[in-house]
Amino acid sequence: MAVDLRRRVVSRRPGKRTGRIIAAATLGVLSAMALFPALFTGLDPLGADVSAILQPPSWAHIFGTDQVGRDVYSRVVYGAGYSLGTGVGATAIALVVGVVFGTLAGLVPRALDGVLMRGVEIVMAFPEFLVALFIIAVLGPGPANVIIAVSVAAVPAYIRVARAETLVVRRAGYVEAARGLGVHPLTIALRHIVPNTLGPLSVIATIGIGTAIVAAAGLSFLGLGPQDPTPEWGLILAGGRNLLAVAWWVAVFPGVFITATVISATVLGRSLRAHGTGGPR
Amino acid sequence: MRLIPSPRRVLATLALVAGTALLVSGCASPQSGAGASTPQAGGTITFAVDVDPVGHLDVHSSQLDINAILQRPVFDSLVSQNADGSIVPWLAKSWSISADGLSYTFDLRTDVKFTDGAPFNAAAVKANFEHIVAPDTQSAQASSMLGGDFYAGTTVVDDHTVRVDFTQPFAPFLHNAAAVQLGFYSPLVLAASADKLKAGGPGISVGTGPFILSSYTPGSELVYTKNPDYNWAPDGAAHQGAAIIDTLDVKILPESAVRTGALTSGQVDIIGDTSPASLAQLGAGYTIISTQSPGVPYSLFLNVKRPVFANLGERLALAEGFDLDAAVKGVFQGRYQRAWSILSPGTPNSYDASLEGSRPFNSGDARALLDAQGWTGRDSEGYRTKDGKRLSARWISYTPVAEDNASLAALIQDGMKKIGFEVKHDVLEPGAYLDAYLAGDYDLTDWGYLSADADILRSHLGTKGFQNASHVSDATVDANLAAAVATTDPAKRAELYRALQQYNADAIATLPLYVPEYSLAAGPGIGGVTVDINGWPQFSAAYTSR
Repeated sequence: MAVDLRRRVVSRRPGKRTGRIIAAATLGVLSAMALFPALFTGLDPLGADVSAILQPPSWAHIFGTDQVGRDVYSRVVYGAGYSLGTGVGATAIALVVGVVFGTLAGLVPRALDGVLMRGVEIVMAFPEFLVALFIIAVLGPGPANVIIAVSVAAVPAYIRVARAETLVVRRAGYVEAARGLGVHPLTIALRHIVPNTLGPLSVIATIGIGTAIVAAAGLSFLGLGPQDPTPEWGLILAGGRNLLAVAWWVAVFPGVFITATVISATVLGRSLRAHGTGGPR
Repeated sequence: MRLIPSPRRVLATLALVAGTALLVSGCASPQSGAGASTPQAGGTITFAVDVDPVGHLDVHSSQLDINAILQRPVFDSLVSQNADGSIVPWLAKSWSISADGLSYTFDLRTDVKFTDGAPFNAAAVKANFEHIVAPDTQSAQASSMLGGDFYAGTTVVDDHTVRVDFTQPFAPFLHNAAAVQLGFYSPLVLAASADKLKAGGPGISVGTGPFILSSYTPGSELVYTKNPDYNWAPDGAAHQGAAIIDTLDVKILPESAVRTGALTSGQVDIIGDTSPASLAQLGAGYTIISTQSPGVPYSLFLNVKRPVFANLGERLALAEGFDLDAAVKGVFQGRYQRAWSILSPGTPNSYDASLEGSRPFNSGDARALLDAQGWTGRDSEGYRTKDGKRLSARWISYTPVAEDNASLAALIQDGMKKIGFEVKHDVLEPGAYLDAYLAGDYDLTDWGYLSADADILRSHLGTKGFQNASHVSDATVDANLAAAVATTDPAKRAELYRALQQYNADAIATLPLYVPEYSLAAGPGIGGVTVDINGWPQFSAAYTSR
């Protein structure tokens, strides 16, 4: 009951609820930008204009123009697709791989589980971004490799949570019952165990999308992701970093979008967690 | 034959070209740094640069501009070249050139000592020049500055007289002799540690210069202390005798914005390779010295051996088809000059100013030229076609492409797209670039090449030139290049180089884009910094009053 009480108190604090609504709305708008960019801007994100280089924000270009006269607003809008796509894609891959290996680790004999988990712990010993950089160094730069690198770096966390949940769920009465009834182990894993581990995983995945977007933007910033003139947030930010003193708008607007996306994803993820989807606290 | 391209040579060239292409800077201003109060002896000046020449510290084999900049305090030359191109005595008191132009005899100073105590004499000159041409040195730039195939040998006439002989007259030699690439290592180092010169460092990079390299941390810092015995500055130098400051501390700060921030926050005293955006940020109180780089300006090279640029019509269409004036003005914030000639205005005794304004932006004319060449069809993306084939050029560059050059490329692509001409820009890793370059598998490529002598055109326009990216093969051009290198008459040379510049302006083998500049910015309290013809700093007269 104590838990219920606290939950009610939490949800009734107006500040938190407003934050959640803003976060959800932000993500909604960004998703719409990612899916239908043409609804938000009529300007071409790749259209250079030699007569409009580094113009400050105005009605014609609300976020100003960049070093080759492209509209920064339309580049940021079209960039939503790349950045959210990379974040969601990398997280989805990490989630699927994490569930498969995590569930396996929770079900296989102890010795095998130990080997697998020690491997996971070795990877976790390194910061995620470093792992991603290492993967890029092996695979080479490029947008697809950024997704792979970010997902590989994120996967150990998902494996651990999936395994921990599996260990809990496998001792549940309905699993014992199914086993007693002679149901095939694969069926037990797919129908009884995996669905019950997904709740907490969905929470860390929501937060993970934010982390993945930052990591992907970071790799692009370093020039390891998509190449110019692709309107990717990290890349736009990198293009503006040496212009901050003369044209702040080139770097600031994509920076604000990255920040807003990550904060929104984190706020939403945490509120899902607080609502007792059962995630790790 | 030294001028036939080999992978190593081209790769080494790329390294230099990369350095040159990265040159960025601002408005022209006086040639010497002023602005501080009274000089005070002693103290430390901190100088921040973008990169250090890790593994390429040998002045005789390195082709990196940054190495030339960072080794100048340590190495002296036979002669010195003033910013106006004139040659004055340095380690050689005087010199004479034989009537046939084949022999240069230098009368050396007798009071010069290397900082390890060895005397500077005719034998030291011979040992150094022999080191440059030795196969083990793997020198491309310094050996060609020493005449390449035309170099016949160096003879010790007496202890302080030395003669350099050539197989045919080699006019650029005096200019080249002023460069740090033909500077002098202590003979003790050449005898004991010739294999360590590329790694460099204290005790290895030992010359006769006003400073001694006393500490080197690759990727981070080089510390120089003054040579207290120094008393052999070039004739007419801003300062004679030992350097005014005790210590010169060079910091490696790769990011342009970081260097600027370090200067404005007072963490460093002088910054090099300053971008136009950074210069725009510096207010009053900072001394800015910008120098247009001599040599070949940043240019597009049109491969005339490939179908798309085989005819003059398409080449003219590229030259007139996009608004280069506006692009250069926009990208460099009005600080760089648009280039008109294959030689930069800063190249001594050769620039043809009459080419300025000779071929303005004219997209209407460019369209008519392409129509006349039969590119009258249009495909679904709006590009011109002929016999179902799209009008498209492949432009190759090697990584990293400087940001400003990338912006310029985007504007060129956009401008050409408007007249239906596709320009595809492929940015390649150096290895892949080299393969494509050597195979001739490109329509366009780009670089600028710093050189204080117009003879640089021999490698860019000569049929056998190792940087002839345009694949120019013209008997008149070759004859003019050969005549220009063989005559020491300045008026005759200037006339020949004018003809070559005119040839390029008519034939559009290369399309010059902009004139790069090297810019230094010095903080308050720093004075006395002078620059050479390349705009590179010299610190013997520098002082700090902070």
